[in-house]
Amino acid sequence: MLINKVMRMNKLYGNKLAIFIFAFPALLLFTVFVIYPIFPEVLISFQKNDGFRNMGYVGLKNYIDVLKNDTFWRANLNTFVIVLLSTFVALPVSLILALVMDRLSEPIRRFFKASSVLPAVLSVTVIAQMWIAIYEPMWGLLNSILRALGLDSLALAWLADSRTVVPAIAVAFLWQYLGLNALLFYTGIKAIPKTYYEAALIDGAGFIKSSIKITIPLLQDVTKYLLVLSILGCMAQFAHVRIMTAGGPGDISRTVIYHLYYRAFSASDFGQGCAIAILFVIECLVLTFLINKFVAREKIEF
Amino acid sequence: MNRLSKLIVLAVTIVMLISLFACTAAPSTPDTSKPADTGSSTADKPADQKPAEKVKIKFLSLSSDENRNRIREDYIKVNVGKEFPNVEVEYDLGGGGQDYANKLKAYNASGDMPDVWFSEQNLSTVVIAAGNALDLYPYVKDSDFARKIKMKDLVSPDKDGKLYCVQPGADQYFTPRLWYHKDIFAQNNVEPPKTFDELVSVCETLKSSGIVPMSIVGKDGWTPNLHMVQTMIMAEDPQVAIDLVNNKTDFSNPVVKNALGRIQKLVQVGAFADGVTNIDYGPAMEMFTSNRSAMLAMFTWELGNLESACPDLDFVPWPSASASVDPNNVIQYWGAPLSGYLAAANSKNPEIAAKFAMFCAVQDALYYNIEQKAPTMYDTGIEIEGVSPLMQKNLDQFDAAEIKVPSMWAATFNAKMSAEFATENSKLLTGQYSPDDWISVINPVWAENFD
Amino acid sequence: MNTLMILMGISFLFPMYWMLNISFKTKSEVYNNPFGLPEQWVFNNYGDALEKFNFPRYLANSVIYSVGTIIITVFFGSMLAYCFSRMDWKRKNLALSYISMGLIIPSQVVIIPLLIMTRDLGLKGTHMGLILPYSAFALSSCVLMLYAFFRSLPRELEEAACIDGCSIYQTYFRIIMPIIKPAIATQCVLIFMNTYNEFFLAFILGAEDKIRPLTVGLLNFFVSIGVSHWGQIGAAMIITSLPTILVYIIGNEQIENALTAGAILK
Repeated sequence: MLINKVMRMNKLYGNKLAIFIFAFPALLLFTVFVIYPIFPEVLISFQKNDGFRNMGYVGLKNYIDVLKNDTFWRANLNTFVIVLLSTFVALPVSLILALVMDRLSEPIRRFFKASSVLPAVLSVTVIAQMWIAIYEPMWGLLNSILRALGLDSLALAWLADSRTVVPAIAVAFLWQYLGLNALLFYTGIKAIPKTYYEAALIDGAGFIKSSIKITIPLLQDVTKYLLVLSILGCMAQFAHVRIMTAGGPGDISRTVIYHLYYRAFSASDFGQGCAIAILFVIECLVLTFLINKFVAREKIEF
Repeated sequence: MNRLSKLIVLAVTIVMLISLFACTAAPSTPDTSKPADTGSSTADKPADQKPAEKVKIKFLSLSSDENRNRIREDYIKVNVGKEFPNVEVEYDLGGGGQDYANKLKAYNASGDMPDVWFSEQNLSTVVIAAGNALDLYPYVKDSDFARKIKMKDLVSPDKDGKLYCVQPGADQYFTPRLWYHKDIFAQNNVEPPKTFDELVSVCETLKSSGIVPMSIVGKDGWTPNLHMVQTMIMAEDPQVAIDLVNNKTDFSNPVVKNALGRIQKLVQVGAFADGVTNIDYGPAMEMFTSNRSAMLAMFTWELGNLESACPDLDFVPWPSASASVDPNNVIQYWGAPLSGYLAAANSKNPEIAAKFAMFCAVQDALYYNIEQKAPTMYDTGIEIEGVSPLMQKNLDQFDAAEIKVPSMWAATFNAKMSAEFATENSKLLTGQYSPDDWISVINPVWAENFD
Repeated sequence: MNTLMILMGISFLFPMYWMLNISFKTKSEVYNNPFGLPEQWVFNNYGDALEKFNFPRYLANSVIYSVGTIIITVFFGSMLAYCFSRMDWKRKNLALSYISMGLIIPSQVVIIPLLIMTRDLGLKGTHMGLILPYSAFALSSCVLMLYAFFRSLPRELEEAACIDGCSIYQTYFRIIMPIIKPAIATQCVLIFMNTYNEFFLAFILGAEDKIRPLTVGLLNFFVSIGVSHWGQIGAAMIITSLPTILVYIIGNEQIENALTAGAILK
């Protein structure tokens, strides 16, 4: 009986045709649109291409031009700044919010959950436009508050001043996901058995100490997931830059992807655009590798 | 069937229905002719023996611009029947700005151009380079249209003997002016400046009384792009501007460096509003018309709007920066040789396409003469009545100026040059960017501009 | 502590309130009185905005993209995930790593070849031109998540079906799919949120007015009215946000569960 069953199951699962039909469409779609495009991209990065025709192969010239261009490095710096702000400011803030959320009374927690996730659900265009209004030098929300507090000297033109433009865009971008990330952390916190906290309490640990020693280490998986997600999201930052400053003033607030867009579509140079894309992929791979290597190497067991 | 499959089928059906709805509700690309236009041709269909079958002309035009829409609706559509009784025009509405550019570029890439379309210089060059534009010169040469054009450059062939574009010649009359509020100037005891140094001190005085001295469009460096850099060059030596247009010099010319320095000086004395690099066209105009700025740097195509919004409006020609330049004798004119109506090289009816293009240019001229009371190089024979004193002052100085230089932005820049020029000018407006850096970025791009 | 969090919660909502406020003001009042309640309540901003901003069409397009992507991704993705989890084939691990590559490559990177491909395949200007790339990129996380879910399903179900003589297709569609409904619901929410809010691909590949989704359409509206009619902009933003807010209020719980499920299963 058992052998029969096993044989039939094997027949069921071993059906090569079925495997093919089940797997093929998805793999085809994936290959055509995700994997395959890399090849023409590499090809075009070695060409002089204005977006419509191949005007000849130029070897590594595109790569050299891109790497020699100050704007490319500026864009990388900007992207890096956003990644840093996200990792060391935004995520910790979300974590703290989550830790506090755990201690709130139920109705307030529900209110906070609902209101803080709202920005993540809204359209990116709406959020960016809203922040443009907030940063408006003459009547925007931020400067109005500053002036009302008597801090006139701090009322800068946030999106036009080269010192503040990148952090300003980063704030607008990260604000959207603060609440959402807090919620994710909170879910992870809820999964930690209460017994650990009780044990810590008996040993005399306060809120902060128990948070540091118990909660944070146990959140490693969630942290890693969020870290990868948010870093890759920051690397691919385009929408907010495009809507809020169009990379301006000049090219000061460009991110790498924006620079790609500018080279390919505004300056009509697909060759350089593809070169930037390939360099960007390499950057992402390196980052992912580094994250995997250094964060959450051990799985904490109990 | 279980529930999930039913849901899936339902969802797929809904998606299909919505896409069908979305596709038929909105006019699809080639088929935008209103029912009234196709009515006559379907009536013709049964009588196939009719010798004069309607010729189809596909016409792509801008649809986000008030002027363009009115030209199309009130002039082209209304008059086309009389001039071209055997032609059925399909109107393709292309939107504006980047959308329009993408659409035209897409047609260009596939080789499937509309028979006639409207495009500005930088887009026209892309189409011409791809070999998709029709040489109109054989049709324009001895035409009525050519005879009525006052500036013969507009209907002359280029260095390859080709003429790709016909236009009404309204653009050529547009020139950048320094507009100002007489009242505000009187209140602050300042006189309209005649030299650059006077301009700087006027700005300083105005700034100290809390008003924005000059409103410009800083977003993407618009005002420096479209005229201010050239204006500052011409203030010292118009010949350098002429040489640039003819590719006889480059941007390392010392006059260029001084010009950039002048713009920087204006930024540094606070002539422009805070956050000027983010100020777009609308808000810049608004700032001047609502009296929050004393001066405005803008082309004369806004003259009509400015006059109706500002009772104390006046203008001066841009101040000069050298004793040898008389501001009244120099004009920078807008307009590009390839900005206007073009036809497709592979059109099935090239002669009709060429004639339709010329017809559209005439309609443009009529619109400008009648509605905008603006002059055009094409002589429609219409006397422009009720020209305001300011417009008259503008035209008089225009005609009297001996040195007329075309705008290098409009007439010569290719896509890459425009993009880089805009980026660099935007940085210049921060006041923290050196002209030397600007020049070192622009010159290599300029070197490839005329390829 | 409690009050602090309440204040924080309100601060997340404040910009929305402010936009609502602005949408009822006249142009000049926006400049003069940015904060307070409108002295002069104006209602025509909404009408004007709707006139110039083809909201129904953009909304329909956004929905088409989201629903289309969900259908394709979930349908084919779940099949592939099932394949991974149940069937034995030689290259399984290789294929798993292959699909995981989709997680590392952001969709923006291949925009140029995608543009060329949509042109060449004749998809330019059609909804499919965006739905297919969206689905392809959504496949990775969908497949991996469903794979984890499938692995947790006991094989008894299929064994029972096998006895009744079902083929693999029948087993899959009749028995397995209803069971994974919660996971599919989660996926639907995730994919919907990612697609509805997507900007870059839509900006480049979906630029034509006919097929433009809300994210791009709204931007063009802002650009075209010259960003000086803040009243109308406020109105447009409120109009655009209403569907999402409604969905959010109604489906609050499910959305939360969906978003957090990703973290746990990973």
